[in-house]
Amino acid sequence: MLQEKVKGLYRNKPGIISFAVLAVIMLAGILAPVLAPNDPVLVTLDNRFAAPSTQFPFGTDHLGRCVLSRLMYGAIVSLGSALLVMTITITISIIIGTLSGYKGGWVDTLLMRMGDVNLAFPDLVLTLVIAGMLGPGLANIIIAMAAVQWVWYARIIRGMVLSLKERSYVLSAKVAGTPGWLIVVRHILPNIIPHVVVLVTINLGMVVLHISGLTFLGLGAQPPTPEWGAMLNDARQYLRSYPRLIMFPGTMIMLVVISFNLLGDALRDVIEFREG
Amino acid sequence: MSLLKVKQISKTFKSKNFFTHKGRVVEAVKDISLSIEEGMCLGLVGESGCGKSTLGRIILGLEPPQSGQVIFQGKDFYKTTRQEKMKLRKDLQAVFQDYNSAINPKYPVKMAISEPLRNYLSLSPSEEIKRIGELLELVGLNPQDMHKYAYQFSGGQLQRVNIARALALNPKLIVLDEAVSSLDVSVQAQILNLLAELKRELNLSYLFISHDIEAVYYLADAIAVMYQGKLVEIINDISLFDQLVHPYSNKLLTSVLPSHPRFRTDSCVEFDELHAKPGNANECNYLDRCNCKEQLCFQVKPVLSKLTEGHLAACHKLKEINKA
Repeated sequence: MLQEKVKGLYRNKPGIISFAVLAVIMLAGILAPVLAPNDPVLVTLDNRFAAPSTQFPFGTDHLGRCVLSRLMYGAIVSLGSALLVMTITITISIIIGTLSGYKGGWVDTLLMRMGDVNLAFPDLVLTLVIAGMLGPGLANIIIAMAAVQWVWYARIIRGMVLSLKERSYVLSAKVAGTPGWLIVVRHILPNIIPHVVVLVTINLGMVVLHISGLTFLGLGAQPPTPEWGAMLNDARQYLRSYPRLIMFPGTMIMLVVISFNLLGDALRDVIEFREG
Repeated sequence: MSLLKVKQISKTFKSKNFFTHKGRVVEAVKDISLSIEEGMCLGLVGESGCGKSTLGRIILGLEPPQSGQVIFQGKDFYKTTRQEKMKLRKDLQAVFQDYNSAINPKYPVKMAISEPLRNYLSLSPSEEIKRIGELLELVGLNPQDMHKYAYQFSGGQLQRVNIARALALNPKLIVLDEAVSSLDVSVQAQILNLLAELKRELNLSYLFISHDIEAVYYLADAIAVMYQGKLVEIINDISLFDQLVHPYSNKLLTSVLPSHPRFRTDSCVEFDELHAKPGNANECNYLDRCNCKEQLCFQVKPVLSKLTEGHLAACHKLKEINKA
């Protein structure tokens, strides 16, 4: 069954292309210390706003730092933190969503009311408040984003669990004497995880945008750490005179977001085909 | 001593309205008592929504009742210790209506059948495979089928797999919750035959829940007719089947379609919907649809009372007939 699905994904062109794009970007980030042509934080004021050349393939920024090197190092910061946010968020929401949906009763009421309080505030505002309280820094915006976003996923997962726990195979397992935790592990989680994977992939693009957005606002990664959102912010002042500075990180963010969306769509086509 | 005794079980469901805080109360099961002897099949009949599946779930231990007792093999199911409950559950299995979702689509069917085996017995892997093969053979499937997934089976085959799983632990009582209702008629007959055969061979008891009074007649040794959460008639011997007298039982009987449209008479097509309305506490449940009601029916709620030996019904009219 798994092989079938892997084969199905292989045939899905947008899926395979977007996966390749993401893999290349990720690899470039990981191998940046080897591959990057220059030091990403080395300031050479002689070379400010240098045009693309063999030494600086994408030119230099307002402090004379190599743009390509910064993009490569930034990939690991931007993508890595997005993945980290997603991992934390989804772990919390799987635990809370499953507990809430499967247990029901006062556990459900308590957890979901807690979530409702969270949902009553606009996403970005709440993230800004928490990140602001914790102070600037990459770790802090990761915490802030996870603290805000878990509710959304927990609600969706709770809904899935609610519909699954009335399935006959769950009832049969109960009648067969299977303990509750094992029913969750054996029958409920395997049936929600594929859907969660799709959800996560589609939303990873949004998280990348969010992180870049928060860094753009001055929270998150602090200078001189190379990060795409921070690069956008730096380049903003030179939009008229040197538009290429904003084009490079902007293109990268767009590429990553589109790739995640397409990959998510492809995964959905493959995984949710013949479910039931 | 009977295998299963249900004593005065009641279960109500409340749904609260968020704005008015006025709850709508549905009395799914009201004050039901019945018993199943060893080796017997009790058919529980009633239209959809009359609470028969809820009763089945209460008996299976999936839904605690508000009041009353479920006594299985002499022990109160909802009041014993956890270990005791586990032990009781071994002898109490179920086959559900929805054969499609009764097997987890992620695993081959051998996983479904091995689940009860693993919970109760510690078999070696080869013993387990052997036992699963035996069970599949018992229900008329090829032992090789154990490696297939649920979507590779037809409806009738899947229901056979479900029966195999229910049989895995050699239970004493199997609750068949509309077990044949979603199959088409010829497959229904095959499954009913299989169930009858297994009952004879393994000395099983069934609680056969169905809305199809014909299927019940075929399999059951005793019949209980349920209407709006209450039992309205019980016959302890299926040979007295033609003596069902309650107006509702008669309506169920006339709802059976003849095998050919040409034989259809006017009484076959008469059909009325159930209008759930908060009834007067003192009037008969079946008042709205009854066509032989009288003054007494509006004033006193009829209780289940004995007509003849092994035949109980809840209707004023019938008691009079009996007296006269």
